[in-house]
Amino acid sequence: MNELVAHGIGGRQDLPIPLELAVAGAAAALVYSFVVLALAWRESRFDGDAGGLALPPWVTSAVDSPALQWILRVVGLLLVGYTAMVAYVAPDFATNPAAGLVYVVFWLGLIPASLLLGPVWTALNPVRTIHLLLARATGAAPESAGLRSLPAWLGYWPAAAGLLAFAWLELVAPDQATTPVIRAFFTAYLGVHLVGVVVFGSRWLDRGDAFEVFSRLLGRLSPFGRRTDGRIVVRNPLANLDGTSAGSGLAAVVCVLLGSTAYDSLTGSPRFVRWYQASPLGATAAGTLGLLTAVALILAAYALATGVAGRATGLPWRSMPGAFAHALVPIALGYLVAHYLTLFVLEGQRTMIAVSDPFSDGSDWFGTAGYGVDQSVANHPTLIASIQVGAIVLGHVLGAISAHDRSVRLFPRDRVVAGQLPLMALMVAYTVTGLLLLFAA
Amino acid sequence: MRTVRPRRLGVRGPATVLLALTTAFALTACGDGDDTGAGSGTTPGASSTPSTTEPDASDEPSDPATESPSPSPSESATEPEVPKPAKARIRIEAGTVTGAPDRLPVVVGQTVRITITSDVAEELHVHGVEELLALPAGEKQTLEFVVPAEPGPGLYEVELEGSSLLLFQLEVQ
Repeated sequence: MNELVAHGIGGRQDLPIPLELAVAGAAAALVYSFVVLALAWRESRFDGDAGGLALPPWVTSAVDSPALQWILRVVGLLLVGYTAMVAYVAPDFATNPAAGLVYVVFWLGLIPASLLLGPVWTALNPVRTIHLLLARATGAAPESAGLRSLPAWLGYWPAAAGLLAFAWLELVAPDQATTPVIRAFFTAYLGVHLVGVVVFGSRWLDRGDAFEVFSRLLGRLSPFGRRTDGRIVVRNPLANLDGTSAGSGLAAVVCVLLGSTAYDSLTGSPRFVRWYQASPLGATAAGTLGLLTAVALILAAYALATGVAGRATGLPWRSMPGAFAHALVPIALGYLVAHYLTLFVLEGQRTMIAVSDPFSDGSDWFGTAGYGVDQSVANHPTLIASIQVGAIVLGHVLGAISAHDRSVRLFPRDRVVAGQLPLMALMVAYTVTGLLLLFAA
Repeated sequence: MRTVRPRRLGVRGPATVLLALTTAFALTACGDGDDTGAGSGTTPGASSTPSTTEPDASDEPSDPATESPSPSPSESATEPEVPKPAKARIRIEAGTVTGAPDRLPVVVGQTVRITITSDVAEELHVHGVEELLALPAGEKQTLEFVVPAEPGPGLYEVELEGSSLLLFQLEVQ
């Protein structure tokens, strides 16, 4: 029986990247930073939500049609309903698909889905659907169906806290792949957000729900967006990203993503794992401390760099973190791709097989139970390493361009370079850290 | 009103170079990778598909045992020098691991021999190759297996199932 008891997702990591590749990646990041700084445009080109090439009107009306919105809500309810069923009812064997559904299909799957289609979780989120039905019953509009209005200072902080909690669950919590732990987390999650929507209306979810914010930030790197006149448009993903609505705590959201991914990379090192396993604090406390330290270091570096940039340009330092947080999104995406691509491919397949037989009784609900896992992706370590480094460097370049465009818009003309240098230094530091972790951890 | 200015050499050029470089990396990698795609669509181990109908794990170790005396001719043809067995001798006392390497580098076809003594009853689990071994308290046990081709290159955790204690990582090249 023992081997049937659920154990962690994976147990496999990619080989460390070769030193030459890490050095080449770091050099490329440095060179591109200066290329952007020295040669790129001098007047802002990204106009956020104001621009974009409008798609035919029927696209907008189809996206906004109640029929499609209800189809997506029902799909969301079915997906979450199935996951809840396996988490609550099915036996907690290693073949239970709950962990794979939560950590791989949902969390990692949100990345490609959002990059292709935009903020998909907003359309699927069952909490939103439940609240909509409640609001309908009371005859109020869901946005204003709260008891009080959402205070502006709250910003993205609830989402940052939610992301940190989820990262803790995924990376630190003992037995995080077992159904009781998954149930406990998502029951608490549902409780928090139901209270949130009852008190503040559905606006709470716009900035308070970690997964909606995650999906919306990555969706900003999709080629699709909505223009200020309401039309669905195609636009340069970087111009799309430029339209990210700033708010307090946005930088914290992105720093949690970066810090937790870096921490996950660190835990790939046996030496580090052995250190925290042997810690007198106990593995969970030591892991919690490690995760918080990683996020705090990333945040402190960001606060320092934006503070120096503010000082160099004479802009109020308080306005700086929010002004450049969007530029970290591509860097975070590069980290995520580098760390989770093969895990997504391998564990995604395993989950797709497991969903057909959630009770381990030999049934085949969706016809996938008999499939095998195609593990051939692992047979190309050089390709994997190249994709990892390529993703990190590409994320760096896109982040540098985004920061550059924002700099030339915000900073006084004669201070642009002085303001940009600390930001470039910060991005190079993040990128080199990411490469170093891929090489050494 | 925007003034029309000549386009500077923007990031478009370097970005193209980056893409070209990445593609070049990718292509060389594809060329180098040895194709083991023949049986890649299936998982071999019975241990990876647990089912309630055949609960006996007892006949599992007999499979590699029958194979080990005569290595298949195809393997010896492609790999003329079979590396010596990779060994690890580990002792676990009060949750502390001694003698374990950080990573044990191995290649496909190589024998791995893990000799382990645990002060409490545990179960040894090698991820990826899905080898399991019961460890009665205080008894020296040896797990021996040949690194199969299937999970492919990567780092695989070798851990104690009960306490989730990481012993080391098997580094399959």
